[in-house]
Amino acid sequence: MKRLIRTLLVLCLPLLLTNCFEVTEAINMKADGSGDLLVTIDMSASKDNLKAYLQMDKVQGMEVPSVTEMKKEVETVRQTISKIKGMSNVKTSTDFDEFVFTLSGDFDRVKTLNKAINAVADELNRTPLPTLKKDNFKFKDNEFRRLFRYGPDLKLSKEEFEELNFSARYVMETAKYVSVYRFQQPIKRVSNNKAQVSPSKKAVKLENSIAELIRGESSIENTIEF
Amino acid sequence: MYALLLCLSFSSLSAQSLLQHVPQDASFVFTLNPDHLNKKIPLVKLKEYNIYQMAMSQLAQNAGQQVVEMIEDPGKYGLDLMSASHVFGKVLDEDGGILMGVAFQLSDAAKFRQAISDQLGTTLETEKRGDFEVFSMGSSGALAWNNNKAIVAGGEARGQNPTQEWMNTVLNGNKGNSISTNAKYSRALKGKTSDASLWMDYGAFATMYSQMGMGMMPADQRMIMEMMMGMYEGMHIAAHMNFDQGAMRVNYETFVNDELSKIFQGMTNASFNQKFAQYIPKNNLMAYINFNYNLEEMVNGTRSLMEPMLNQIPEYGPMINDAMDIIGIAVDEQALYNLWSGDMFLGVTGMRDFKKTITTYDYDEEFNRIEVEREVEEKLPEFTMMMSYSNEADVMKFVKLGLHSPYLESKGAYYQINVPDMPMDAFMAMKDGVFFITNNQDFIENKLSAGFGKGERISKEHLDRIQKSAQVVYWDVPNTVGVMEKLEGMNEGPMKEVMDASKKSVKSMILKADKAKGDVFSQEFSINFMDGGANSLDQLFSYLDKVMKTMMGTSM
Repeated sequence: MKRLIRTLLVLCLPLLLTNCFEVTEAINMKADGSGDLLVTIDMSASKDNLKAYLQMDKVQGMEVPSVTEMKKEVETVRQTISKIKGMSNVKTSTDFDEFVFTLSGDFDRVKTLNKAINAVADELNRTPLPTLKKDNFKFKDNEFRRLFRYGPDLKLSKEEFEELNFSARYVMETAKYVSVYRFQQPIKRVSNNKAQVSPSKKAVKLENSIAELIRGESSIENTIEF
Repeated sequence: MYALLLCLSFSSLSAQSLLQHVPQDASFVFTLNPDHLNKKIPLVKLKEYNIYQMAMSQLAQNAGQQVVEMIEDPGKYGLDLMSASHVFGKVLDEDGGILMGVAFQLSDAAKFRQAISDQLGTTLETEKRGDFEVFSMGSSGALAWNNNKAIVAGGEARGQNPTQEWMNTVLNGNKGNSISTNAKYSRALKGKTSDASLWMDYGAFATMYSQMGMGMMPADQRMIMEMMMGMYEGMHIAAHMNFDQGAMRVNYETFVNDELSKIFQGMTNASFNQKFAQYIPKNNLMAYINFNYNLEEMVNGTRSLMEPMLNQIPEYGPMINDAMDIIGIAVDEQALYNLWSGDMFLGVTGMRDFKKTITTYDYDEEFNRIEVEREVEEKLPEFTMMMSYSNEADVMKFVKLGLHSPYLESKGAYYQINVPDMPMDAFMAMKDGVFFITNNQDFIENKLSAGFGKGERISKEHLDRIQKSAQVVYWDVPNTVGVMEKLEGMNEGPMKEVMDASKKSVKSMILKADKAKGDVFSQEFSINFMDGGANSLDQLFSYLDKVMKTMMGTSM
């Protein structure tokens, strides 16, 4: 699996993202356990390179998908999530000028959100291996949890990370994963010491570089008590 | 001493012996001379580098393991890869075909024969021709060898089938009809030994390319094309590559016909404007381009070449010449040459911060993602460009036009250029026959009157090179790296390793073109390394090794 991850990182990251990018998951939780999700993939910092790639048929021997193909893929994601019972108002947006893509939707409970994420993962799985289905979020009483556990093979040691090529390391060092969760009640405690709580105490933000996550130096795992 | 002389004679004879298989009318000859290189740097040393191992691994994937083994242990296959070998060919005007040949030395003909047999997986069926054993590959070519050399000849030619004739000529190897008797080849290569060389009959290639597209053209356009190709008639080029101590050099010589020779000589009949020197700083000179061309002689020479040619095209030629005469009434050509004589110096003297506004995203205090406009500092090259003019009154007419538009603004001794969305401030000035464009405000405000102090001006070494050459492109690698590593993200992690390796290994890269001498126009490209006493190929491999190690990670 490590070999697979390394290969994917080496091949895909330099190809698609020659500069920093940012993935943001923002969730607004209501007290009754329902909420809304907004995922934003912002590649605007790399837009000049990405625009150039779109003019090519192949980059580093790999086929470059067309805008139409990518829009079709995004629409597939939207339809997959829309079919999940309890998900509503599912929308996507694609901006091929700024290279910012969003996915948003309302969920009736966190279990539905987990189901939707697993359905998308399954839909996008192009490998012969079965999709690893697991819960990403938990909501119970006055506690919201972001779950994130590496399988033993998914994390790279510092030495293994150094073995990656320059482009892959550079992309991962500059790319960020940001999670923002908002609640109706004030936050009392967060478990992840990298998380920042807003002045109103109703929002929490956690920012990590992809490299830190890959090396296991930090995690997006967080337990928020309110 | 006698043995040494004998060896040298034998080596020379071997080379001659191979060359006799290159026909006199070959259009190009590429010669590789590993032995020449091996005397400067033992090639076996290069095998220690990871980059060599990687190249061999790639070669094994692309061409097969046996090819790698042939390179690693040529003796096992009866090959003598250290002696000079030649790849040559002849382009066919009529049908765009190309005939090819390869000539190389053997160390053991029996082993070579066995290797070929093993490769083909069958018993070789050959025929004898003189002392050669010939293996036919059908109409596409033949492989022949004797005790000490092997020849491959073949190619494709549409229409007729001159391949057999070509193979006969190559295999027969008639001394009197070899490339050594080609006057152009002999002149270009005479007295020059190099690690690798290329000689090319440029006229033959130009004719071939033009013939390939001409079939579809109307007759009049074909005539124009033929006329243009006629310009290259007799033109040939030679390139010599050498990995010397401290520097890798590629020397090009272009031999032109009488007509082009006049143009080249006229075009390069220009001198460096000495007034430029006081405005070029010694420090932080990261890179520069300088050319000293004579615009007037270049235009006049081209016209005198084109006019008779145009007159030979009854449909358009005289009409174009008449139109040019009429334009000549309205346009004062001399006045145009007085605006710009044809020289230019463009120097990059550092990186400067320029402010620009960008739209980006951020989070407000409640972590809502918001679009924000932010003023950021962007590092852009600081440059100064200079050109010579001789009629200030005429140049001022253009300046006045600019001043009456929103694009130029007078600032006293200089002018500010205002182009919308330009990411930097730019300035223009004229002084004592020198026209300046720069984005260096400090320069335009403080150095315009007297230039840099004597001790701060461009070094004598650079100045000598610029003065003696028609054109110079220079890149100072450590100076550039020194500036680049101050940029964000450049002095940390793997980028720092690449920067450090570059700074410690490569001193400069220079491309210079000499003034035309007779019918020869010479150019030299060199990569100059830090250690003047170590071979440049060794230093190049060492540098690439470090960079590749960083780029590929420690897994390399």
